[in-house]
Amino acid sequence: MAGIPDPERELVQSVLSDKGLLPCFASSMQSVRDTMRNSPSGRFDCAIVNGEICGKPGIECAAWLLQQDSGIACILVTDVLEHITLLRALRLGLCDVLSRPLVATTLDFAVERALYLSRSRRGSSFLVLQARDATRICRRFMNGEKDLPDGFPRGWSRKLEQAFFPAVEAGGDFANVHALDDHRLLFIAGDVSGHDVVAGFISSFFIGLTSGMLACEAAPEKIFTHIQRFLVDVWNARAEADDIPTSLAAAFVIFDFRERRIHACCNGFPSPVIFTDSLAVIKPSGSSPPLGWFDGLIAPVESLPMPESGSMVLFSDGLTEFSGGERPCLVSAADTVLGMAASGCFTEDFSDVVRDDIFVLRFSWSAGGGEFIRPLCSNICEASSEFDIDACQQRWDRTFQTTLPHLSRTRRMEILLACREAALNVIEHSLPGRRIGACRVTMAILGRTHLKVVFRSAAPTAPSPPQAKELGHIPFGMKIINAFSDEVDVDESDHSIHLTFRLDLAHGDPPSVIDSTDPQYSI
Amino acid sequence: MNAVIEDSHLILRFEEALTSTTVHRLRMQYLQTLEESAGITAITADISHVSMIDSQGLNFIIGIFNDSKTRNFVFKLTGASQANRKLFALVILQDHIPIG
Repeated sequence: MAGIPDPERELVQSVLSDKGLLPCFASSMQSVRDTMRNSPSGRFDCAIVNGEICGKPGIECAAWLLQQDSGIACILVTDVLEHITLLRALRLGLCDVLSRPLVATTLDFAVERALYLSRSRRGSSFLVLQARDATRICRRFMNGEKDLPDGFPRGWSRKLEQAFFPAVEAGGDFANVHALDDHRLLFIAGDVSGHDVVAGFISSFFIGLTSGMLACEAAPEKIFTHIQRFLVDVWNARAEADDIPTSLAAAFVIFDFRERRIHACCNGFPSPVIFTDSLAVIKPSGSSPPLGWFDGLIAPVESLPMPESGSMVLFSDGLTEFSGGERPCLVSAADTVLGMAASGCFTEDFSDVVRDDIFVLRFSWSAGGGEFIRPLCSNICEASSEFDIDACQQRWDRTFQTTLPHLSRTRRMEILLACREAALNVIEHSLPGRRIGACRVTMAILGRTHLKVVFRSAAPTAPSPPQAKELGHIPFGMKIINAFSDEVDVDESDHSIHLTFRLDLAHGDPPSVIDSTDPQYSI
Repeated sequence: MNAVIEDSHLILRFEEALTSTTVHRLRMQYLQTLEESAGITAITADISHVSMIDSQGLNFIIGIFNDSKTRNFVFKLTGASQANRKLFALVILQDHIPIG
C-alpha cells in the first residue's frame, strides 16, 4: 500500500488479512522504490495507491509500479472520482479506481479482482517464457544447415538448409524430412492456424504423428488424411461453439531418386519452387488450392520430372509478407531469410515487417557429386509506368548482403550495376516500340565461387540486330556489363543475357574508347 | 541537385545516384538552372555524394560536358569515388574531362 493514510490502513489490513495476504506499507515514493528494489520479483500481487503521495499524483506511482512489474494489479484510491482520473487510470491499465470513503465490500471486490488479474498475468507470462524457451530450442535445430536422415541414395550429393522465425513466441509452422526407403525422401510441411502455444503444440504433435505413421510404412496421403481427421473429429470437436476451429495448410514432396520423379501435394500451402541446373523453374501447376486452411485433403498429387541436379525451395505463406506480397520475389526472400539465419540475425530484423511465421527450407541435390545449383533470386521486373528498377536493385542488394556476406562492397556494387544494365537492356530491346516490356531475372550461385544471373524477356519478343544493343538508348550499358562480369552470353533468339560473376576475384577494368563528341551523347 | 553560383562559376552538387531513374529529372533541373543563371563561365559537377552511376548517368555527365563546350564554359568533375573513377576509366572519360 502506498501513501494510504492511517485511518484507512486498518480497514485495508483487515480486508487483506481475510484473504491471507500480508500487507506492506510505504508512506512515500522513495519508500515504494526501496520496497520494490529490496523485494524479489513477483512478490506483490496487488498495489493500493493513494491518489496523492507526499503532494505528488499517486497515479505516477502506479505507472512506475507497472513499469517495474507488469504483473502487479494496481488500485487507485482518490478523494473525488473525477472523469480525468478515470480516463488516465483506464489508459494506464489500472485494475480499479475507488473513491472515499472506502467501503469494505467495495474494497474486497476490487482486491479480489486485482488478485485474479495479477495471477492470470503471471500465469500467461510464465507460459510465454516456457514457449520462448521451446522456440529457442526449435531455432537451434531449425536454422542453418541440417543433416538429412540416413538412407539417402548413394551417388547423390545433397544439402539441406532451413530457417524458422515464429511471428510470436510459439509458431504453428513445421516441417520435417524423412527417408521413406533407400531411394525416396519425403519433405512434409504444415501451417497450423494461429501463432499461439496451441498451434505450436499441434504442430509438434503432427511431427510426432508423421514419424510414427511413417515407421508403420503409411503413405503420405494417409498421414495427411489422418492429421485432418484428428483436427476435425478430435481437436475441433472439443471446441466451444464460439471458438475458431483449428485448421491446417500442408504440403508434402517426395523425391524418388530411382524413378527420377518428384511427387508434390500442396493443400492450401504454397507450391514448392524447383530449379533445374539451367535455372529453369519447375513448379506444380495443377489445381493446387490457394493459400488458406482446409478441413480435408483436396489437392491432387502431382508428378514432375526430377532433374539431375537442382534445388527446391519450400516455404510457408509467412514469406509472402516478408517479400511484400510479390510472389515472384519469394525465392529472393527465401534466400534472404536463409542468409539471415546463417549469419545469426533473428527476430530484430523481422519484427517490424512480419506478422506471420516464416519458414523456409531449401534442398539442393546433384548426381555424382556435382556442384550445387543454389537459386538466389527470381523476380520479374515490369517495364511500365510503375516499373521500379531501383526497388529491384535494392532487393538484389539485400539478398547479396545476407547471402554473400563476405562479398566486398565494391564488388557487390559492380555486380549490381551490371545487373541493372542487363535488366534495362533486355527490357529496352525485347519490345521495341512498345510501352510495356518485362524482364525475368534468375540468379544462382554455382558452387562456391560463381554467381550466374540470367535476364530473360518475360514478354513476347521482337528480334533486333545485335548492334542495337550497343548503340541503343543505353550507350554504355554493354560496356559496363562486359567490364564488371566475367562471362557474358547474349542469346539473340530470346533476348536473354547470361552473366557469370566470379565472387572470389577483384575485377580488372578493360579499357574501351568512346568518342564524346558523338551527337548521341549530347543533351 | 543543389546548384550554387560563385563568381560566375556554377557548382552542381549531386546528392543522389545518377541512374536511369534520376537523370531525366536532373537534366531538366540542369537546363532550368542554366536558363536562370546569367554570366556563367565555368561549371563544376561535384559527385562526392553520388553512390552509383549507371550508363545513363555517364551519358548525362558527358552531355553536360558537351553542353559546356558548346557554350564555351570550362567543365570540371570533382569528388569522384574510387568506384566512380573506375567506371570513368572504362570509357576513358579522364582523357576528355578533368576529374578531381
